Amino acid sequence: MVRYILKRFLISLVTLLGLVTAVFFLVRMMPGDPFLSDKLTPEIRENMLRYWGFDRPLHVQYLHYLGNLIRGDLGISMHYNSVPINRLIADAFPQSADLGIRALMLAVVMGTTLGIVSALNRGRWLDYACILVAIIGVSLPDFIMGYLLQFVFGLKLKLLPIALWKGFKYTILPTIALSFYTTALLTRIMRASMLEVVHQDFIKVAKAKGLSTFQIVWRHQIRNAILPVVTLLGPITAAILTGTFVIESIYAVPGMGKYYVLGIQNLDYSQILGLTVFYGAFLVMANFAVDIVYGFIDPRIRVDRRERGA
Amino acid sequence: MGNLVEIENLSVSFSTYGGSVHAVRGVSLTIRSGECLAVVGESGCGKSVTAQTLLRLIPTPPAQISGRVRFEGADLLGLTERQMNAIRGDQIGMIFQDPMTSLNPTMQIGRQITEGLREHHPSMRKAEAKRRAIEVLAQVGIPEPEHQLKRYAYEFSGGMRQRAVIAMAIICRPRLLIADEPTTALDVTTQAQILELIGRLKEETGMAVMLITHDMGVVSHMAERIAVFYAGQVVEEGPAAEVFRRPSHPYTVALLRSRPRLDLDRSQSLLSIPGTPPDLFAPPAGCGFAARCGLALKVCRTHQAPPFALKDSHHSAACWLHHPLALARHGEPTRERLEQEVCHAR
Repeated sequence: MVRYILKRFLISLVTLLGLVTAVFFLVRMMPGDPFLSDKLTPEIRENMLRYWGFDRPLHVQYLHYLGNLIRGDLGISMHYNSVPINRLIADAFPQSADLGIRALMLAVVMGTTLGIVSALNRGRWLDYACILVAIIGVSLPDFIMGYLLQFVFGLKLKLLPIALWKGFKYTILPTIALSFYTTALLTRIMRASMLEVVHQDFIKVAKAKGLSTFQIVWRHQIRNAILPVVTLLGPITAAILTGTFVIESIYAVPGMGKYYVLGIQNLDYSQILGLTVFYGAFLVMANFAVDIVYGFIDPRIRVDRRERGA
Repeated sequence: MGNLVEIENLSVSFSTYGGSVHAVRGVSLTIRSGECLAVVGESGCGKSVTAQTLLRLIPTPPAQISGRVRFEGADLLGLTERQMNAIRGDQIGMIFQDPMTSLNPTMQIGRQITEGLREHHPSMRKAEAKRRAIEVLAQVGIPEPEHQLKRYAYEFSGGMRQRAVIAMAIICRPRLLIADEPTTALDVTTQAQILELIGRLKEETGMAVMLITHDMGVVSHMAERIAVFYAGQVVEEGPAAEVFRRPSHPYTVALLRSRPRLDLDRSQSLLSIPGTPPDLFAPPAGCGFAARCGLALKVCRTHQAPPFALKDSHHSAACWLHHPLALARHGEPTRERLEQEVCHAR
């Protein structure tokens, strides 16, 4: 198990290095630079470029950036009057993470529950109800879902606030809007997986042992059926992360989405790069965590093939 | 010894989009305490379905089940699910064909073995259950049983897995063990070991065994009695030695002749029975084998023969050739005559 974790960790580091490299050079390939403006004389432009170190060869800049990165320094925002990117993230990330974690938890709990309920009631009205929810969730884009929830619960029913981030009541609508698609996706995956596992021989064996239906479902069916859901947790985290940009702007949540969009509009190299690296690192870590959880749930994953001697 | 299991006129059919499949059509069988009954027949002849009906593992609907299944006098088909659960695993254990899929891949072997035991004996302590699991694992011939409890199915070979599955089935000391083709998925040397194991456990524990197989060779050295299934019916039933010595249904004869034998000329090719089993969506009115049988009479195509008791009691064959009138007209259908007609009349 230790070897497995170590190996996963090294792979994560390599992935991250690849990401940093790719984004660094891609950003530089975008036409123009941060100081392209009629208001700046060539002389000032020259000085600015020299000040930010952009006059040096690209590979030197790259190595310099890597060196800073290892020390945990993501650089300085050019647009926000030299605010460190680390500060930007420290200010904005808690709100984004708060929203994201709420949505992720809601989606996992609701998705697996609905999937299980749906599979256990296959062909009955409860199943069809769950499938209907799943279809709506998968087909409606999150920004439409966001406006729809604002309209119904905020404007018409006047139950919940439609925007801003000032306490639990404010989190409900954005959380639902952000998690709806994922909930629907997980419902479908979990339902299909449950129905697949139920036909496995070991379920019949469990029944032949005299176990009650509840024990069979709980001990044998769900645990094996949940594996595909765990696998999906990585990509799902990514989907929710990117979803936060849209949902944050619909519900005026003071998160990182705003800085990302502005950074790209202003061609703020260090801001784009910093936020991307941060998000990337976050995602890679999420996948790393998923791999480890997976190893705990499914013992076959823990050892690699050579050790198995198969 | 008394009858442990009495199956009377059991019929099972499945409703599908294409119509009803009549998988089992009026099967009657008995299993005595402590004996090994082999149920032989080709794929799809209803032998597995009959066995699973004993444990009520077949969901109804979509299946419809009629007839009687008695286990130690209790009518299994009339029990509630809770009463049935008290019998499953405790009184009747079952092992399935494929040990690769019979074990839960995410649960430790030890836990899978003890969970049935602890279900039927809720007051049993964990340590006691563990001790018993080690005991059974040793009994089924798994080396160093105390080290195996924490392992997972993927760490076991096919033969080891089947041994673990058997351990799961016998831990509660059932009165009947149903073995549904326990060796089909294993390689030949392992097959022999597993059969030997089942035979030994039967002797040691005195449990009855219902051994389902399509391999006549498997049957010959284990079973005390044989029931031959064809197209959802029992066509012949009797003591194993008798059935081998004097097969009396044309299908049994053909089945025995399609087996490789050491005493026959090597150049002779194995018999394959011409034709295919009848369509169980629309089973024939008469004998299911009539269309493939060289000896079929007119009556064979219109009426199903009842089991006729043969001279050496306990042995019966559901074939009109054993009707007194047929016997009077055609004489005794000896093995030689049946072989001649069934196997060579092309």
